[in-house]
Amino acid sequence: MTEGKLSLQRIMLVEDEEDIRAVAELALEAVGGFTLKTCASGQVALDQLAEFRPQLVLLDVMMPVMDGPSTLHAIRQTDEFADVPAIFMTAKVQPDEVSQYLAEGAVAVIPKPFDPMTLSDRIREIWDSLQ
Amino acid sequence: MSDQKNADVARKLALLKTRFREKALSELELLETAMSGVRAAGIDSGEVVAAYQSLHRLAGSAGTFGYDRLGKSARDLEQILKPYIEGDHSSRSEILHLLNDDFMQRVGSLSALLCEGDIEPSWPVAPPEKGVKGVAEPVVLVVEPDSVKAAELSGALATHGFAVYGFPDTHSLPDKTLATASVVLMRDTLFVSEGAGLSAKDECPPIVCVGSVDGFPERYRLADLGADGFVCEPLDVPVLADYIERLISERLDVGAGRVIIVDDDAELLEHYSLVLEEGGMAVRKVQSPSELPGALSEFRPDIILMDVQMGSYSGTTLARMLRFDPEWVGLHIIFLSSEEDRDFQVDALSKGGDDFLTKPVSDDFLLRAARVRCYRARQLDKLASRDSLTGLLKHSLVKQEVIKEHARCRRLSQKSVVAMLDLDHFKRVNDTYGHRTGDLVIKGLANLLRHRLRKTDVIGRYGGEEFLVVLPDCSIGDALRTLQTVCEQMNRIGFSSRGEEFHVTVSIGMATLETFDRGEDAIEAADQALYRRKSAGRNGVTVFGAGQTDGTGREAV
Repeated sequence: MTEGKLSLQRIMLVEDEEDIRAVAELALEAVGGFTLKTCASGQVALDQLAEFRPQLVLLDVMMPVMDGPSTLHAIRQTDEFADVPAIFMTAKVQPDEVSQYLAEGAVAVIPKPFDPMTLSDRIREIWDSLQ
Repeated sequence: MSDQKNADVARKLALLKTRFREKALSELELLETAMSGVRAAGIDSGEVVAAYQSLHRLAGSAGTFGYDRLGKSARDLEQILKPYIEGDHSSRSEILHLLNDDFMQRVGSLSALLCEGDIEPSWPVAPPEKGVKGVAEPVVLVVEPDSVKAAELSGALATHGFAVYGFPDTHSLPDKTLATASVVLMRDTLFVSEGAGLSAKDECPPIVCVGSVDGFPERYRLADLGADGFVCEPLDVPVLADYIERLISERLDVGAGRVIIVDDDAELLEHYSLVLEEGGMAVRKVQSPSELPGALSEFRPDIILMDVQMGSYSGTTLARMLRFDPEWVGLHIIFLSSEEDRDFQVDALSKGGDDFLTKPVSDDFLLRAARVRCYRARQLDKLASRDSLTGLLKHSLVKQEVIKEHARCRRLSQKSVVAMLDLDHFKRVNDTYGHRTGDLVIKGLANLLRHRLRKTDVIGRYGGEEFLVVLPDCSIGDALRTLQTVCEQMNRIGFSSRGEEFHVTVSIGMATLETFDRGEDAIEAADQALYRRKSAGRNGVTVFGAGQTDGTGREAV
């Protein structure tokens, strides 16, 4: 996908915890001004990809059934979203784990817990570094 | 972001936080039950993996909702379980080793870290007696394994106007209840074994230990473990009630500070005020120094936080200017400055500042520093305006309040009541038991009034054993009922001295405020009613003019 220097607007969040989805909506929509699509599972995310057309995907790592890395793997299998930048969000941030996630094709890892007031800034930073 | 949007986000965040807390509470309960079950049976059928996942979720989410300590503790416990989860051993001894006492205790104390909020406490031992509507009695939790002692103590404290709830141990004490409490009274031996988790919480109220052995090593140990106080048995309930009262008022003083921040940098101003507001303080922002005098009179802060250099204005000069006005001579002015030169700081202080905070200042430090200084400022202010024994308004101030309220009633055609109270045979108490005991009786009535009356009511110590009370927006009937309750409760408080228990009654005279031409006349009328009550047998309330007309022939009620 070649979005070029487009500014970031549409973000998809894949997260099984309802509380975190709710707080992320606040952090990214109300505070950050993004358009957010939240998905409660990897499968839902895959179903929604074509319709929502995210510019960036945020993935929780530890989820039941289909975890973050598996979801990303499945997204990479699609033709249209094979290159969509993905960020993992995880409570595990050992250095070796981070490099492992990056190796799996994520552009960055955001440690949990995140601060809802600064999450948007962090994501913009990451986005800008990609452009 | 705009103020409006900020406020909106903060409100929604608070809602999400509440929701998170409730869910986390039940999740932790399940977790604890499950782990106890596994431990008891010595068999793990998948519960430990579930616990691991649950702890992992908490580790990742709690911090987002402001429960950093919970997140960190959950992370530590998650790390303890990790090797077990990754291995394939689940022998009985392995399980018992993993879920040892320390682990279980740490699991048990997790929910304590969610201790925040304002949910109604449960399990009343002594249900609070009904006072005036809108009165919130301070909640005291009694943690005492001996149910007889717990009931005795609860009953005795309830007569002093506390809402008392009893619990046999800390595990049965729900965190939401803890968060609503003003003080926890706890058996000292219990505190030694399980109090550490309790006192470590941010929102934990002061803990006063109750014990039968009193000595230096015992007291030192309790202090070391984080206790806030100790009382030795046999308990002197009025002394204890007064002690609790003092802890409560100290605590109230801390949170409710009022601060004016003066800074020409709009962003810093916004930031500082958010930090302090989130810490529960009332804040007024002033960006342009010329608006400061108006803001001062309107807002009446405890302290001012002021930038030293604001455009063409100098903070030190502003401080000096404020001191021109006698009203602001005692106001605490704290400079925020990146200037670290001590000479410069001392120079600035000599011009009218009180203290310095050196920028950059962390949010946490700013909040704590502001709290401490507000607290000090209030203490000093209290010294000047409050009676030192009872903490009530001094004679001249309460009289002023009556006059102010009288004017307000006249202006808004509202009804208010003024009442004069006097302890019966107080001289006899002093002569028989000594002044220290007499002082306790006075404090007893003062505390009772504080609990039984509304926050908006004005209470003053008028003379030695005389109190003056103003009840704004109150009908004579409501005031009568309230004050009769005060009489009944006062009579029920058992004071003890030299091994003897005794009771003291109070006589009360009251009058409507707005029916008199001057506030002073209403005080005089209440005093006359009091005199009639004294001659009619004391211990009760008499309304001025009830059943008779006053000197002018006008029905006063």
